[in-house]
Amino acid sequence: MNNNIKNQFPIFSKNKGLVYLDSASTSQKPKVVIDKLVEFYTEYNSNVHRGLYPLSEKATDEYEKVRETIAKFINAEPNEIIFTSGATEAINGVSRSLYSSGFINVPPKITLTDLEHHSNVLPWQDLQPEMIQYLGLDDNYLINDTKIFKDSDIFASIHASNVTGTIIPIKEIITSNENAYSIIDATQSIAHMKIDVKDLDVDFLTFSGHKLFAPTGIGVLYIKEEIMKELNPFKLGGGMIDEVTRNGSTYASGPTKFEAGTPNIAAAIALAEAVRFIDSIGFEEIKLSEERLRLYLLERLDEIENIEIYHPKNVTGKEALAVVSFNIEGIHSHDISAYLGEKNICVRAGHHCTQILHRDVLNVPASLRASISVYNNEEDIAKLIEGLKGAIKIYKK
Amino acid sequence: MREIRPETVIFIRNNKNEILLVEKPHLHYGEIYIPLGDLVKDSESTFENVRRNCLTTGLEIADTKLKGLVTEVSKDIQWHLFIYLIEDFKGETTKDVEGHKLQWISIVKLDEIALPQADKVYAPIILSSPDFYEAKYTFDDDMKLVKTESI
Repeated sequence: MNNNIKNQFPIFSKNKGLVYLDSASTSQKPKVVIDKLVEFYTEYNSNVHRGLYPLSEKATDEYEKVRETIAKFINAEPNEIIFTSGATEAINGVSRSLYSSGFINVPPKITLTDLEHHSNVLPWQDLQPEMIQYLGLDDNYLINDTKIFKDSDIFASIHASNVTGTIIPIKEIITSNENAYSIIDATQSIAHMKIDVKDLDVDFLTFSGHKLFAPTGIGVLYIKEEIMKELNPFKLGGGMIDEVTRNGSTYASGPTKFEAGTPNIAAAIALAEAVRFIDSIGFEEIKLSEERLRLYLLERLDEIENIEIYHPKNVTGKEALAVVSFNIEGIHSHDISAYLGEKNICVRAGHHCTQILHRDVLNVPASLRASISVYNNEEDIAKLIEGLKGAIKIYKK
Repeated sequence: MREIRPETVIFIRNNKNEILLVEKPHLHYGEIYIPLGDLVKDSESTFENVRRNCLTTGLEIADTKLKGLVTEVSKDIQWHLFIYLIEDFKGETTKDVEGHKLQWISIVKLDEIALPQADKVYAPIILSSPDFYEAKYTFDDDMKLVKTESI
């Protein structure tokens, strides 16, 4: 399956021998998505919602259809879908809007997890909360502590870790305190498993398109309809108003209220194509392929001496994505990453925007991360292992 | 056949007779200090490599001198080390390079700190001799330095 899929990504034919194991950072883009971008700019580039001429009507129609595609993809309603530049903008916006709308106590009490990406820590710290509770990891890199403090105003969490691959038991945690607003960042999981906002019963859910085979600069924020009606916008400007007078303004309703300024139209249209690309494969196939490679990667990493792996052991794909971080004792992750880079093997080294996890839980400043997507195969893993063995030889000197 | 690796080794010496070293973990020796430098990349000259490496330190380099060429031979890998000395520079160093701590270490203390075994041999020569240094170092299968031959 994977070679057929790999052939749909032009970057692999332009870079012979490329081993791309950094999809947790950003995914590669299939030709259909790239073509969609080109199609927009060459055939009907114009601004949306404003022009009463055919090009603009076509652009508006295509852009609004994306809302329907995304809504269906995550089992939401189209009027619950907002386009953002990515998850970071969405979380920043939600944190400020919850605060400005008077939805939460001031200062608020917030529950996060030890696995959070900085994009889901800093916006909450910026609210100067009275308290932040961090749900901790157990020895197997899983979150078993699923009880939110009863007076928490907010539960904000990633859906899956960009370091350990751990899938957070969101539903169970949300159920533990239904009074807290839940904000879930599904950026890591969205391309790897079916997300159903109704089943999870989340209040807010966001993801960045670029990890879903779509271009950078486009993201999605789902807001439960009854919350959206009462929530203040987090961006003000053109396109989101009802009426503007010298003394004040009123805002539009629905998603429009949250989409001030010209949106990233081309990227949004390409995002819908990325969703259709995923649908053409199906999550069942994706999960099967990635789970097989996850287990193969873990098996092969065991061949490396003095390796410490930061990923749950003896779990299934229901509990962990194919994102595996590790360190080899005595060699800095940057050095290994640079060596692998020489061999055209792309992995990520660093703290992966999770300093709390690295410093306070893993007790290391940095790690190496290999992350798998639909276009990877066993050969990629074999080359990674060969590369790691080569790096060990180099750094033995 | 051995993998051939051309690499630079860059000693930067200030007017306090200190050299700039990077603190890194090592497979066998724990934390060690090593000079700047890395693999000469595809289409890169050794001089361009030195410039690239020095950029990461925050220092503005005015002049560089190629002071030595050492060939290191191990079971699997053959390194060709282009050893540079820089004494003419401006500016302040950054705290670290790609997560590794940068430190100025007095040359008189080089014996006391953990340096890689080959660096321990060539560093004093590069830093004290006015002559160009050319040598071949041989490692055994366990990567122990067993022979040094200089020209």
